[in-house]
Amino acid sequence: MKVFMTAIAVVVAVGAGIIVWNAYSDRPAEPWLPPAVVRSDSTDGKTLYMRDCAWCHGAEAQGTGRGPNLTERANGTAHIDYVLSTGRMPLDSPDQPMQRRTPIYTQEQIDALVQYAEQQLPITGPAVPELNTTEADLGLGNQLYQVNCAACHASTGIGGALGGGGESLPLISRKAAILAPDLFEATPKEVAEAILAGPGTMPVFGPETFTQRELDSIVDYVGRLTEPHNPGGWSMGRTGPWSEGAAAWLIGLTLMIILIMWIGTRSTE
Amino acid sequence: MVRKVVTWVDDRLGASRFTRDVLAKVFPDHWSFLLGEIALYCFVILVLTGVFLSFFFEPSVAESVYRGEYEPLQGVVVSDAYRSVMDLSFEVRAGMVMRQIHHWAALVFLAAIVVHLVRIFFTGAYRRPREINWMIGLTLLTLAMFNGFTGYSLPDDLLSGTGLRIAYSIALSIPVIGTWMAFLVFGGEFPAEQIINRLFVIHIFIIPVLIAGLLTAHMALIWRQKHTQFPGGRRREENVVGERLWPTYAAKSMGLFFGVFGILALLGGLVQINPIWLYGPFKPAQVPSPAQPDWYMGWLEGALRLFPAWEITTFGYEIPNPFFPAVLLPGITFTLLYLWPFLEAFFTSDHKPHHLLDRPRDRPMRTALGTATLSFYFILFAAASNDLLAKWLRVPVENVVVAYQILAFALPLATGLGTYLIAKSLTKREAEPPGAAPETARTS
Repeated sequence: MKVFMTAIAVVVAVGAGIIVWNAYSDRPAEPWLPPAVVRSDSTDGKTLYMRDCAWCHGAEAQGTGRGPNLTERANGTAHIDYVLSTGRMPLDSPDQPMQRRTPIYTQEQIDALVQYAEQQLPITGPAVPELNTTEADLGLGNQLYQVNCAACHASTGIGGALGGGGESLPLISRKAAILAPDLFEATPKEVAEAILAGPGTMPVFGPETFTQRELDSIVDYVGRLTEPHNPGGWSMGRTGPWSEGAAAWLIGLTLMIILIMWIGTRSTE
Repeated sequence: MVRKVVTWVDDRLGASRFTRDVLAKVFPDHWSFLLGEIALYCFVILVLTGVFLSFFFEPSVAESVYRGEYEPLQGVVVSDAYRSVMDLSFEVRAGMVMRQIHHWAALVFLAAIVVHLVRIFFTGAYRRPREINWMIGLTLLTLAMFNGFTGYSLPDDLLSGTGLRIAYSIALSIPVIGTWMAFLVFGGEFPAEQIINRLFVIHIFIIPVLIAGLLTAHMALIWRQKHTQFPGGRRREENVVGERLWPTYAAKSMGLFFGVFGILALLGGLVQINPIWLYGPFKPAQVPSPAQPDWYMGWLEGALRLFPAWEITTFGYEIPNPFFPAVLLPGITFTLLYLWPFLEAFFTSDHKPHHLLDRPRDRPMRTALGTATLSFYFILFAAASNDLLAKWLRVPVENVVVAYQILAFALPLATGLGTYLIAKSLTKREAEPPGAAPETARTS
């Protein structure tokens, strides 16, 4: 038994060593970084841009060593409004993964920044879209969603993993995975902006792909899909057969085993 | 009056003597002997709910425009099979709850069979004279898996259609006969029109009849050979100690049936399963993600995901990659399972009949083999949802795959070794006389 315990201790120690070594060995030399953006009361687009964005993206949105050129991908103010209103920008540091967070700016400040970008910066591409869901067709939106969106964001809207492009990374790596986020928190405007601007690894679905009515229909369907309404009962996070299998074992069979343990117990002897 | 009728029947059939023998049959008492009964009652509930579902299901891939209750699908072209399951879910009274109970019962049915099999394995209940019943049980497991898969495929939704496409590709991967077999089963190139109808006949007729027949044989053999029992008390190789069928055992068994039905009804009523309205109708050009099969097929899916992308060539022909994880692996798995009672008898030179069960710790080698094997298949099963894990951990899928590939070898070794040592130390502790421990504590 003592030998056994020692063996376990050795395995754990070696494992921990590998993890720590992996986590630190690929860490690059830290460049000098700007301070994280803090909340402010300013509603002047230029002030906000120069103070919070120009650090990395440059005064003319031309990009720097710390952040990309904002004019290159031509994804327009739709993209700027999208990253600001989902809290993906500004980042605390350039190597932080872009994820949905509570936005640091108020709606008024976001509008001011978008307006500044539109008028003062050489940004081209789709503008912040106007939506008209009264013309939308849910069935059409459903079909378009299944064909164009579900492969990454899942039929159920829970998002998914997209793989690292076939590249094998160190087992414990600081490099973030490429994920398609879930859609449950996305507002209709954000959905439309993402479709038009193609943030991150998402493809751009421009006006040549979808008509205005098709865009409205997809947005309408995503709104419907992400309603917390599940006709069958508790949805278990909509993770599909995975959670269903877990429930069959952990609720169904477990309750039945408790039942047979009770039935199988003798009252006497 | 009652007495008269009973006597009249008995005069003609001589049933009373038989009934008296049957009712006096003794069953040993242990909760784990009821695991198989859970599976049995799940099957009964599957038949009951399945009959209801078959009144409404239309096994056809003919297409029409959906005009039903579920608004986001209106105007979409769907197959009759898909539409009938949608109508069953949203328009037929109690249709949704019946569908959900049926699907939950299927998942629990297989879980109960597996746990029952594990109990039989670890207690050595398959040893002579029960090798035949072991093989019947394994056949029941295989049939239950097939029927689960065919049922999962019937609604013709995008998720199950993807499963069928994988099944088709696996069939294609079999050397020499693969193409012919896939065309024979599916009735043409995927997605063939015949397949839903064929699956329907297999699902509601052929396999259920086979299961019912083999279940009868399974229980008749238990009856004929008598149930095994754990050693201890008055229990010997040559007796059976327990409750009589009537009234005690029958009452317990009836209680269990209602309990199982109740738990499945609760799940069916409260927890959503297989929301095909979200998956949408099957379209050959689409693939959903994340996509998993029902849990009992998870080990095959996981094997497909973990097996390296090797191109293996023999006699100048490439053997398609899916053949190894999806045909060869289950082939080896079930061959070894079927042969296990004979393999064990051969390696231990124990050919005597056994009616008393083993405690797992008293057979450390078998127990260690068992836990190692279980952990291997558990890793395969877990690998079937590698994309979900990657998403939750926010790491690349490739890394999760490599981690599982390592674990598939490392975990069985560790589990087997750990089990062996624990079993040994447990029996050793039992062998030591009480009071010996303080002595050793003082000297060390």
